[in-house]
Amino acid sequence: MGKSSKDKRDVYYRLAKEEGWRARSAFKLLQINEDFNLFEGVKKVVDLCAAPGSWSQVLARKLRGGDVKNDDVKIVAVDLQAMAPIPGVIQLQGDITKKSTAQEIISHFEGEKADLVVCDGAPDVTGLHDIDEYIQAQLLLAALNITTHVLRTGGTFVAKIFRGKDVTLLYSQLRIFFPLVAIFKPRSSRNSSIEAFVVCQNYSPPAGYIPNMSNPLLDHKYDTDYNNLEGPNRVIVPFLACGDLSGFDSDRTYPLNLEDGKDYVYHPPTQGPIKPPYEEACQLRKTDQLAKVVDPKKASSESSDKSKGDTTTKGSSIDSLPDCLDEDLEFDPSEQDVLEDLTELQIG
Amino acid sequence: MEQKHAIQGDFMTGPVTALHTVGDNIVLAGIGSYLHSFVISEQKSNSCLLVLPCRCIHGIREFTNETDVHTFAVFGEKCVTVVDYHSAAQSGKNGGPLDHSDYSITITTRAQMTEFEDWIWDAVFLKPKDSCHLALALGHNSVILWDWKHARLVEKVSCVESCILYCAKFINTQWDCLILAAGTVFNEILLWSPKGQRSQSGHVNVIKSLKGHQGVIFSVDFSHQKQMMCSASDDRSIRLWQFSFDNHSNLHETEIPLESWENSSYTCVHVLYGHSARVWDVRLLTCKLVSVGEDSTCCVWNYEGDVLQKFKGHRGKSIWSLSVDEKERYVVTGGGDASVRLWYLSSRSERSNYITQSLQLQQTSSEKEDDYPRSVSLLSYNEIIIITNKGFLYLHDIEKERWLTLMNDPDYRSYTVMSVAPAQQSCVVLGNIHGKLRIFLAEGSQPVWKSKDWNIYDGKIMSIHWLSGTRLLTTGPEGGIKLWNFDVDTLNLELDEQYILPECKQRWVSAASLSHGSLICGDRGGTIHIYQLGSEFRNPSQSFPKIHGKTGVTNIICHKGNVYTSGRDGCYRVFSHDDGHMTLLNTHRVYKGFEWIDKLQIADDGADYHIFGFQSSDFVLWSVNRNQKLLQIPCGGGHRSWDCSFRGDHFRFVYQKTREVVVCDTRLEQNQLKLKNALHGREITCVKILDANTEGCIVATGSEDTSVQISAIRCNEFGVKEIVCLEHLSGHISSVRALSLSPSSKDSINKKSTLMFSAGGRAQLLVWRLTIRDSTSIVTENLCMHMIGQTQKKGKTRMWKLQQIKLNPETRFMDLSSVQLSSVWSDFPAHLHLLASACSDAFVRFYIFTEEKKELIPFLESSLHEHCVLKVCCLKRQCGSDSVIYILSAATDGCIAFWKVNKKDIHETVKKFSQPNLDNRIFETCSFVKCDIHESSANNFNLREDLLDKESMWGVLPSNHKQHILKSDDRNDSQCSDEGQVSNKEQDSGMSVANMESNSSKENSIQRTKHVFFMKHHQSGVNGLDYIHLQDDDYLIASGGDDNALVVTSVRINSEGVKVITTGSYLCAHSTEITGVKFLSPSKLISVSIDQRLILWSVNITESRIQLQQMSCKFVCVADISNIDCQKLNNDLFTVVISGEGLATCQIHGI
Repeated sequence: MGKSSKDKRDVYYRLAKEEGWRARSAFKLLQINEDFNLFEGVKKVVDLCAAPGSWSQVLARKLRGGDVKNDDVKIVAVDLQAMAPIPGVIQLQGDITKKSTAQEIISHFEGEKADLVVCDGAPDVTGLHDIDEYIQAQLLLAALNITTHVLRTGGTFVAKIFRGKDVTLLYSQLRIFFPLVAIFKPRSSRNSSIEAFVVCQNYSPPAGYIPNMSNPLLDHKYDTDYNNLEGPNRVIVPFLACGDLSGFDSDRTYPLNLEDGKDYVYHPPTQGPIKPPYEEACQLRKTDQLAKVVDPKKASSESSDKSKGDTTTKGSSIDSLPDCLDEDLEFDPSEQDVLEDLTELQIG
Repeated sequence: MEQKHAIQGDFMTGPVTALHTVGDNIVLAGIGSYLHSFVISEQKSNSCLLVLPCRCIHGIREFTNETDVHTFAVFGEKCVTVVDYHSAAQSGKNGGPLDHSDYSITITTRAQMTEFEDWIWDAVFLKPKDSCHLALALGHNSVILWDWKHARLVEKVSCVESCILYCAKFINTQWDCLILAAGTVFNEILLWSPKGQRSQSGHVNVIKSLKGHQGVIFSVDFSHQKQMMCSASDDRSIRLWQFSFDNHSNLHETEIPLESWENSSYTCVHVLYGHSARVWDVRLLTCKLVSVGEDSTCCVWNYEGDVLQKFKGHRGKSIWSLSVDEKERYVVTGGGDASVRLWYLSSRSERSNYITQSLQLQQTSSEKEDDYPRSVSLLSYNEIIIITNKGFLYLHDIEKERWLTLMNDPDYRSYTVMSVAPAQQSCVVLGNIHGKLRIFLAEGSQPVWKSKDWNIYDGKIMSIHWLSGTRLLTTGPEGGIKLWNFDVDTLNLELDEQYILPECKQRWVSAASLSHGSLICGDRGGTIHIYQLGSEFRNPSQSFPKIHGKTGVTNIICHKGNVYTSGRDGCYRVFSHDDGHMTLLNTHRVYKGFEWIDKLQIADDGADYHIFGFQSSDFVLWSVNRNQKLLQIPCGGGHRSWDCSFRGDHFRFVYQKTREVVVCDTRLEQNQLKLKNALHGREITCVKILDANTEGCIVATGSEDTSVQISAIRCNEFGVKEIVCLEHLSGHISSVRALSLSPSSKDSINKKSTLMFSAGGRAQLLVWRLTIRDSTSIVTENLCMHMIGQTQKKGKTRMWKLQQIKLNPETRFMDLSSVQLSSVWSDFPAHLHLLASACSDAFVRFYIFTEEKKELIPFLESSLHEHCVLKVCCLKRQCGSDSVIYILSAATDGCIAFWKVNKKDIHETVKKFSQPNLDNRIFETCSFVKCDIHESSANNFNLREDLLDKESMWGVLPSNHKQHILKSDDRNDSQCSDEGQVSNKEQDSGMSVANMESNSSKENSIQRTKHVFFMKHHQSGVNGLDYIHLQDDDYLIASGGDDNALVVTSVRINSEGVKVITTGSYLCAHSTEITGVKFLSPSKLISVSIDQRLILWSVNITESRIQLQQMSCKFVCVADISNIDCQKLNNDLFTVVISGEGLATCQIHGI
């Protein structure tokens, strides 16, 4: 499989590289903006879980219009990891569950609060859907919690959400803080992916609500009146898909020649993956240094007496060969639609 | 409230997310919401109970008490319940042999399911035993003390660090010294105690935080005995932490008090990398540790950090759960493939070691000194027979270490072929370079060896094969095959039949077998020939040229009417054999990298296949059913002369290596028990019901693991519903996304036969025929393979150059729908089918499949949608001779298009295709009839026109994957030489330059005849589409979208076209994307969604609108639901099958 095969399969991956975005998710924010006019009148923005930085790139390009020195606009990007600098974006390395982080954000706005908070964070999915959805929900709630500290009344909150079995519980939670909540699926997000975005407008916390970081915000429970597990009552917020159908379809397989007379040129990814947790393990695997089944005799350093002169006793090395079986399944990228969407270019 | 329309879940399988061993013979498993109990000795499930409705079980913890009743806390997500387990085997033992009733058990609920505010990561029953307190570790690092008997919250304590956890593990069992080891999203393990020091906010401080992992922590375990902790992480490593406690009192037996923890110190003693992906769980044992991971491997380590064993066998991705019995004899693992497997932990020195021994030929005379063995075989487990270069035939008894020289004949110098009779008697046959055959036979209990000679050829005997104890097959010069009858008692050899082996490179029979009056031979050129016994005709009646590739056929066996062949192409093939005619049913590749297959054996009465062969420098015995190597012996590479024999699970392997004979003794790696069968290794993307009744059903499933599986769901002897794999079909090179069924022309009342189309990634489409023998077996045949834009299965460079426009091989088939043409137009033969496909490159492609010729003819295509097409559905409009097939297609743009297929067009295409072409082979490129667009709302009409013009250039040639069955008449004068076969192949695919040119000229005669109706129903992708006939010309069409909406439209379809009558929709039908809709009746509809609900809707049609009303909603314990299928069992009962990360069936009553 050549390096261009992913370009064929995923048109947005290819476009992201061609347009210099750090991840294809940049298109998602651009498309949300097309429908919601998110950036209108926005001066102060917080980008939570910003790495690798594609949303910050979009914010910088859209809000500053290329003018790096525009002091009116302040973009603060927060992430636990460090990321490559982006001109015009203030970077803040911190934990979004800490009050100090919220205070630091506000200090960059000179005490004022943000007009818009965006969060494109997602965990590395495990594959067990209930756990993945739970963790994503907790990430969103943590983002919401810090948002209640830094967002001005009337402001907008945009975050990634997994549309899973208990998504209605999150909706009802968000509705407490925002009268307008919509689920939005940009065209650049695949049909097969459970990922979508909540666009929450007109922040209006309940009367007397005091933001509190010392206890985590937990998701709602099913009850009989408002949100049933199996019954007819469920809070289902309106779903919106990006209106413009003329753009590229993320599910469609395109030929490499998108336009007549314009030849396909392979572009390397704009930015390589940030140090992933499995970096060392991958290195060991590549150099064939992962632990193999050992000879038990050698392991216990016993020299066994050989009963016959020319008889050799060995531990069979049944499993010491390369994993000829797993290799195919594990690395056939065509099987990894959902995963790719979530980890963006990092898989590269 | 009583619901009139009840949806009842009756079966579910999926990832095994929790395991717990009970005593010696019971394993409890959590699969979805169900708690299963397995009996190890029976390898069966004896009970299954819904314990956590609508949740997935993630943990089972035992309450240790001394009674016969076991009590367990079962938890998952935010819920916990307590159950009792009563076993009949333990209470009612009377010394006699156990039967099924002895394994009957009852599981009763002690404490109702309780939901907590946060995710539960661990639970422990606290001491003292009568306290009925359960401690629970929650998702944001807090601990709850819960009185389970009185369903009362006693206390909740939170840690100062309230970050998200990925795992937690309680250490100790008393509240006063309870320690929680919490694995956080920030790569740390935090140790804290609910009784620990509190900060000002009332939260408890952390005692220790263990840093070092580079990723989130997935599992933690602690061993009191070793005072060691281990952790598994996203960084794919396992870390071992040695603790030392100041208090030197004996901490081994008792619990380590809080102060000791506070004063403890720890060091990370090992960082272990052994898994090739993430590590999900790890467990510390007395002198080993066990880990499972995303690489579907279970590793056993010692405390020095060496891997002692690796258990591989789970299919696809991830082993999710792990349990070790109390005596540490075995590990039980539960996988994403829905299987539960048991592995013995005994060390390798006791098991499966092998002893190799090199045999020295007797050194008695000087003449023998430079002698060496030429061929070796096992006469019995203990007796090796060796023929040497100098013409010595030795018999060596391995146990007694005794040598016997049977022969010393210079006639048999330098060249001898040898074969050992398969029957009980000791009988060896030799053939030499002069055409002389010599048979040695041992007689009596103190064997006396007799021998007799025959001259059977005027030249070299090329090969000898025993077909049975009395039938012998020889090949001589110029392909002369002779079949002999051998009388053991009289030592008489009688010529029975003579045949000619067609010419090939090394012209001799390499494998042979007798089956139902036919002789089946394989040659060194990979060809299989069939000869009829008792026929005058000496040539093969049927041949499969080069079916096993260049390196030859290695083994042919017959079993239950089928013929199995193996070859060095890494494949084994299954043929049916009726009336002297063989039909290829299936090709199976064993696994990538294992090419040199030398022998195939049917094991476990047909339930398993054992494959013997060489992989790189090892001899391998592979079990297909276990998905595991039973043996792997490093022998330096492939050996031409080898033999093996079993005695129980002892295995003896002998081979000849340059100048020596090596004997290798070992034991089979029977270290795996399958308690529950595997389904698919990855997500199931599509499901179809093949057959169903009230007892159960047979389903076909396609998966991202690139396989299609046919399974039966039925009750076992314990009355527990289980899924049994009938056939695992490989052949797809990428994920399978769609299945479609159509009745086969071979379908009859007593033999249900169905055509199955399967398609998916890499533009690949396969056609199969499935014939259900009975509920336990099925015959599958692979009829045809097609790839969009590829002209030949193994394209030659020449062909690729000719192919001007290559289609994108990354194109995925998204959906299929098929219809048997004779069901619409009774004058069509039963073997013609229309197949509609949805493709990711924005095309809908229609094909005609002729079952008779096993060929798929491209028929129509269009890229009207301009978006990835997701769904297709064939609608039959039946009105006598005016019957028409409409095809509905839906794409990611939310639009549904109607396509019309006329009888005339199909007729013409079929006719054209069956006309003889240049090479008098059946081949003709069909010209694509383009669909014209009759549509008002298309704003970019011109662009589409352009596209259509472009399409006309896309000359797609039909792939022509045909079996190379050549009737005897055809074959008579055709030489079976290498070149001859190549040209034959070419003819088959019908590709020649002249042909290509004629094709391209035909491309210009494209008609645009069809018209289209178009409607936009959804904001984005349509993932569910179905129709039902209402009355007269009226049809109901239902669609479910990515936008959560369900739309039902009533359309009138008649000669004037398609017209929408009324439409009704339910915008928030589900809370997430709808992935399946099905009509049960014109007034009832079901839908499923990623939100894991199955909803039954009533459809009320009035003149002005259609109203949808939710009648019933059922939670389905299968994540990522991808598809549904349903079948009517009787007027009141439907069975529904739902696929996703697992499979579930439901029954719907009261329609």
